[in-house]
Amino acid sequence: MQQINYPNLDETLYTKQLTNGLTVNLLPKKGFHKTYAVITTDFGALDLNFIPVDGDTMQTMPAGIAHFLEHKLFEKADYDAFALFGKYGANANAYTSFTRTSYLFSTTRRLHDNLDVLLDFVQDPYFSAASVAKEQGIIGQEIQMYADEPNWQIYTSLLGAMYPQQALSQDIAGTVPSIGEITAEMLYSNYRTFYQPSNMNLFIVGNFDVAETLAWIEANQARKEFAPSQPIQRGANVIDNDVAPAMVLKLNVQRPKVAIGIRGYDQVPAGVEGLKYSLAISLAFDLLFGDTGKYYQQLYNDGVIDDSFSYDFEAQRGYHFATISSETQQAERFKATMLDILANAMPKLEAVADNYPLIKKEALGSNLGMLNSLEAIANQYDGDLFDGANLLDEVGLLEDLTFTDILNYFKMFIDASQVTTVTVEPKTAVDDAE
Amino acid sequence: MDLELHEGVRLHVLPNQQFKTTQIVVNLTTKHQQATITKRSLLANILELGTEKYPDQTQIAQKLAGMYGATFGTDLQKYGQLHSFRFMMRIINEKFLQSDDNLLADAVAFLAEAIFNPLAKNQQFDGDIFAREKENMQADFEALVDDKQSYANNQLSQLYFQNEMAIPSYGQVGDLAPLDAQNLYQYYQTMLTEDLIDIFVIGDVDEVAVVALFKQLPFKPRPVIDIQLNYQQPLKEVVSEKIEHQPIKQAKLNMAFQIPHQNAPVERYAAIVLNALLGGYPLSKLFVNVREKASLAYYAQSGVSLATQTLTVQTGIQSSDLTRVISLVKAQIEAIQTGDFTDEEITQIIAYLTNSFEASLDSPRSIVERATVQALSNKVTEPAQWIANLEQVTKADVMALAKKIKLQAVFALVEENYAAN
Repeated sequence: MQQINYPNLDETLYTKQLTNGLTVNLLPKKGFHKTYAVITTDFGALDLNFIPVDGDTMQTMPAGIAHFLEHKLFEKADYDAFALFGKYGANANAYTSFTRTSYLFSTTRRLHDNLDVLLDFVQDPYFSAASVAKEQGIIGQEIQMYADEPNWQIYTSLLGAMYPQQALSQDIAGTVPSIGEITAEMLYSNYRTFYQPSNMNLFIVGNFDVAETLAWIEANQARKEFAPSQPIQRGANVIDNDVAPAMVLKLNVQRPKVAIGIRGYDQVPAGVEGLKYSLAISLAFDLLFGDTGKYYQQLYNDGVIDDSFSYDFEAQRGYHFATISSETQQAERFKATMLDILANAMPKLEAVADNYPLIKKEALGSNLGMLNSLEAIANQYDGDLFDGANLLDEVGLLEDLTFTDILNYFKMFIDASQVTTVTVEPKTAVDDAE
Repeated sequence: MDLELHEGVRLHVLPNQQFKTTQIVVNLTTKHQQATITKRSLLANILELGTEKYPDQTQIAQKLAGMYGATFGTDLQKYGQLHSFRFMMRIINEKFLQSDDNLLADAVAFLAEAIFNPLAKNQQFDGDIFAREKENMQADFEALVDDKQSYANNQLSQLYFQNEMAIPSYGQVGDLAPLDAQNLYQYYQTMLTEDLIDIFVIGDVDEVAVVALFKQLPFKPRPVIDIQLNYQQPLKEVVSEKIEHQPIKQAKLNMAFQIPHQNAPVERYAAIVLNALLGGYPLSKLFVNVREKASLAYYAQSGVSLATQTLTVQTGIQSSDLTRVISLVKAQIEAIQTGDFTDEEITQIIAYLTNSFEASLDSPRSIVERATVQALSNKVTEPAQWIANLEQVTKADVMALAKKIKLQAVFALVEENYAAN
């Protein structure tokens, strides 16, 4: 077991790869009541093309299958995992993103029992035709609920505009027809390929004893047989087309909204440097668009943006992009202003070098503040993506980051030809009649 | 440690070594009443935007960024018949920084500036800020209908209370028009001199230093307000019902019941368990029987407010299933009344609630919430006592309380071409 000390943060992380390939990270936190545990597979909604470990030809799966599998894994022939967690008083949940599927619980008592439930239900799949059919109804409802949420629609449309014809343009949950194609056999095929222990990690943070907990995990794994670890052969997700032109959506909203997407077309550096790159791009956006900068107040005073204005940068396996959005009564002016800043981003960034020390202090504080949250620490762990770097490492990376780093990385990222927009306009009676 | 700095001005220091931060909350409380809620809501927006020393958002943001990303903001909460307006700050504990700054002293100075020197001239708020924020708030009110779930909750509240108790903590659009930069400023001065003040500090702090710092805030003594947190309204003989049509894909069905618990531990804790059994824990009757077994809903849950004696049910369903879901929800309550649940379920629910309660002690935000309710109700329940009270609840207690539940209001938001059959 490897021990990583963070003396400035008063934290110690313990990490070990078990013989079956599962990576385990343990971060004990003094004074907390709760323990939060999350097991994650490096498999999400994007992974629709792959050669199954027990086959030899490339398969294409229906959209939404990773999310569907996540739902189904809780249900067994003779028990329901939710019910078992309930019996031990824990709060359990799961979520699927484009690149990951995670199963988690938090508990203040009976950690050993709950940990066994987590490992056992995730490592013991049971899919049947009847239970697949029932789930199709439940997820159909879920898809419809999202369809009523304007913010979700605009986010999905923006992804579609940045990544036309790519898996990223499809809803994580799929569509009612696509999930209708899912069979129990497909679920098994996905499971055997992507739920190998070597493709998964377990992160536990909170109130527990390291040696005792690791012994529980190892004893649990020793009770099970695992097939030898095999390499995963994914189809390439090649992004080789242009972003779609600006589009307009008519939705049942009161206020217009604009979302701008900036697709990353460069290569994110491998390993920990990728995390450094991500932090640098986020800081560049803080410098250009944040409320300590020169544009924010003017746009706010002029009513071009309001407090719904936000921006975000996201880097995952195989893709990275930034978004900027706001509700606005002046959609055209908002778009023009933002696009102008983006088109001249490098000189504008260089011009605000003086603000960098302030922005860096702010980012450091906000990062330290996130360490209050067990969920944030565990959920932000990206496994192999950044070579195992986690939220605790970000503090040190931030401290070392220079303004020159920001300029260099941002120059790699920013490219005016990778920008597209989605504008939401309120639907009128005329639109409905059409 | 609880200390009265002046009459009606109280400081509560909650030492805690779990966090990397120190949380400061200054809470101003008065009666929840129509005449002032919307004023307080607009103030919550305006007071974040400028002070004499930091006259615009950029200068506030720069000041906070320089304090290692301190966060500052206002917030509104409704506690039964009380309304709290709060200023909140979060700073990083200096011991994790390579810096000699005294962030706690800086934070108190910043709060003093924000509370006592808002950007104003001649006894009125800055005209531009006022006009813009009033406009933004008008737009916010108009956009409320976009969030269907909270829209349905508010509509249900109107049907249930039919008085000012139905007004959300952030006010209502009809009370916004009469406000101007002058009468709002005057009201703010009243608030500062008359509201009950509770200051909370949570973190690894030196109590003596904290007391010395907060004594400097120029709050004057004021009589402690004499308003009960708890609210009870007479039972209505006829259930209030309303169906609204909108162009939506997923319908919402919300129901409100009166749960007339005696304000004694046995019924208070029984009400918490009853709510969990009905729709407040992962294996609740609504989840299992409405969502899972009948596949009738994406979500089906319940909530309880002990302060107002209400139990509410929220569901997201298909419009065509409306009448079926209404009877299914009623059937779940009848099942609880007749004891169609096991002692084992009660044990599990108590374990679940204990877990959630202990977990909430890991969140600075929940710690503030709990401390606020204790300060406002003058009733302190230690965590161990809370859990002990919960563990006393029996199946018989839950059945007895369930028999007193009375349906009072039903609100449904359905698709446009829905017709009752």
